[in-house]
Amino acid sequence: MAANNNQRRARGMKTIWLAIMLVFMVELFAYTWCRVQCVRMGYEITAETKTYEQQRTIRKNLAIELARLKAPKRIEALGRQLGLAPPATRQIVVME
Amino acid sequence: MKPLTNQKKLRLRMTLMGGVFFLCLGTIVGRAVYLQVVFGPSLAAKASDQYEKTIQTSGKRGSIFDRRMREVAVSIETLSLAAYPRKIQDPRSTARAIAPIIKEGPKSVARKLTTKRSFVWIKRQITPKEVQAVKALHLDGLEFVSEHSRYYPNRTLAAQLVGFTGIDGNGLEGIEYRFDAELTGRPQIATVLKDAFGRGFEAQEDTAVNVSGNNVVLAIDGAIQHLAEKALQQAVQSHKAKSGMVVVMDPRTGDLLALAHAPLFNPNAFGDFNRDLRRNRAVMDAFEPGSTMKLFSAAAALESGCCTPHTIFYCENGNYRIGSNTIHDTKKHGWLSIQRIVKYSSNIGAVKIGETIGADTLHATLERFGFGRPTGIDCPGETKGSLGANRKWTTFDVAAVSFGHGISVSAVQLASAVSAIANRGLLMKPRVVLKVTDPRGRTIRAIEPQPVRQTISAQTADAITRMMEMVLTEGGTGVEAALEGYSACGKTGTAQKIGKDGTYTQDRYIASFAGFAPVEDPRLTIVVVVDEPQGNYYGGSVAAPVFREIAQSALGYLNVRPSERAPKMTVSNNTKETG
Repeated sequence: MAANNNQRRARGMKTIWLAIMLVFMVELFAYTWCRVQCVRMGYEITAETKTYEQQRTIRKNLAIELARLKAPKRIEALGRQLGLAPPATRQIVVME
Repeated sequence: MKPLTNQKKLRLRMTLMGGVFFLCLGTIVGRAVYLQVVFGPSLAAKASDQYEKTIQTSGKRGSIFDRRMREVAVSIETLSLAAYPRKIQDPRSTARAIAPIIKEGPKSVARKLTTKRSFVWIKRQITPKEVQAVKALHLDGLEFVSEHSRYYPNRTLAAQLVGFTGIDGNGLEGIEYRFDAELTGRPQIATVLKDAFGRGFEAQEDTAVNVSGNNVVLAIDGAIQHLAEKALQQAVQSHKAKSGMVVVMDPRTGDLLALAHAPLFNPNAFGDFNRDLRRNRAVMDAFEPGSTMKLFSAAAALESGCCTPHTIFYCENGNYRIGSNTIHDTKKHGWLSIQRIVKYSSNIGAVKIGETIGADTLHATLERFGFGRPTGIDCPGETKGSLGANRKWTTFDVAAVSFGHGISVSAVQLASAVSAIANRGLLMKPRVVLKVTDPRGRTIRAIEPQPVRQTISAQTADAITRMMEMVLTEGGTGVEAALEGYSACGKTGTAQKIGKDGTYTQDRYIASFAGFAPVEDPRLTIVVVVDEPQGNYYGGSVAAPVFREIAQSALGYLNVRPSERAPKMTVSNNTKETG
């Protein structure tokens, strides 16, 4: 009778220990998974940030290129090549 | 002694093992507490060194825009080649490999690579082609450092005004220098996490905008600036002149719409140009204005109340002796009214006006127009010109100043003073910068138009304007400045230059023209100065056509309605100028 009780208690203890170990294991894996995800996301964010910076640089460079292309000296030279000329005063109509 | 039973043995072993484990655990806990309490902060710092790194970045320099928000100066990202000499095994072969790519001597590169310093620049701001070629060599100890360099997309446009920056991005001349504190970006130190390979990861907060410098918006209009530069360049070339400058100002606000110089220079390669070419001469240099000063002598006479535009003076038939000096007119004149003295630009007439009003009145009027003191324009190195103390003036000094000699002014001072006449006597402070904005374009400092003082009465200003109009009519010295479809007025100037021996030369002149248009509602004041034109050197022939070309195009560009009162005149080719 007493032996049976001892065996039952020992089995109960084992179950509790197993449950505790299981919880710890699950927590360990969950924590590790979270950390890995965090690092992976960090890399992804870094890569996206880099892409964003590159795109922004390209946009800035294009804006500068546009400014260069719109330089009055260049536009005037192109206009003259196309046979255009600044309008004479009598050719200007001022819209109110 | 009874032998131990199995159960007791087991219990003893368990107790012993438990004790050992407890001892181990206690040791571990004790050590952990010891490390945490005693070495905690230093170990935490060591650990963070392994998973964190700091990055220092410099904020981008702000841009400079014209009044229509067109980029005049911008910062672009470039790479610079640097080296860590201690990490380079064979500096000489490395130098031989990279020297031809970066177009430098192998010896000078080798010298840099064999230095005892831990870091050395090989070449700053190299081209993308050079970057590719050096990268392809896969050499150890070299690094490409990202930097910002300044770029001027319009190249020569307003270069002397805008100035330029040095290799480290600090302003060296012009607006770049004057507004350096506003334009400079702030340095930023950021901490990022790094992995086992030392690569940084985890995005940083987007702080690039926050550390960028502020932007400066100029009063200059890029299109008018181009018109001014083109017209001036043509005049300087066709008259084989040494140099030239043009100031275009809005007389109502004092806004500098253009500040042109010839010859031009390219700030993207400023090192290739002579230092003199890079100077903002319209602000920094003073010159004897010659006959354009007669406007202010006439203004002094009218304002003093002792003369009217119709008061007549005897012009001595072209020769007038003052002490040992003789003053000449190019054309002989007898009696002339003040308005005709201005129209024909009679030196003797101007001298007679000066003698009539006296040194004090003349000096006080010139001072009120801002001569002899800086205008306060936001450009570095402004000259105040020279206007001597009137108590020291001799009779001849008064005579000389009356027709624009013995006094020196800057082109901006002259434009500002003529603008005061256009503005019915109200002198405005020249405004070259409209506002300073933050990197997102929000205004953080607006510079409003600033009235300085009422120089002369509105009636006197109107009378002077009518005289200036006559200069552009048949027989006047400035007929070549007359516009088609717009009313205009102005005054020519031709001044002899002083030689190295301190006397006036007979072959070196400054031709100038100062005027505004349209007369009824002035929108543009234009001052043209051409230094040492060859052949025909009169202001009416050299500078007046430049005024006409700029004003004609710029008024159309500004959508100014043609004037109903514009004279329908033809320009006479056989007009003789005197001033």
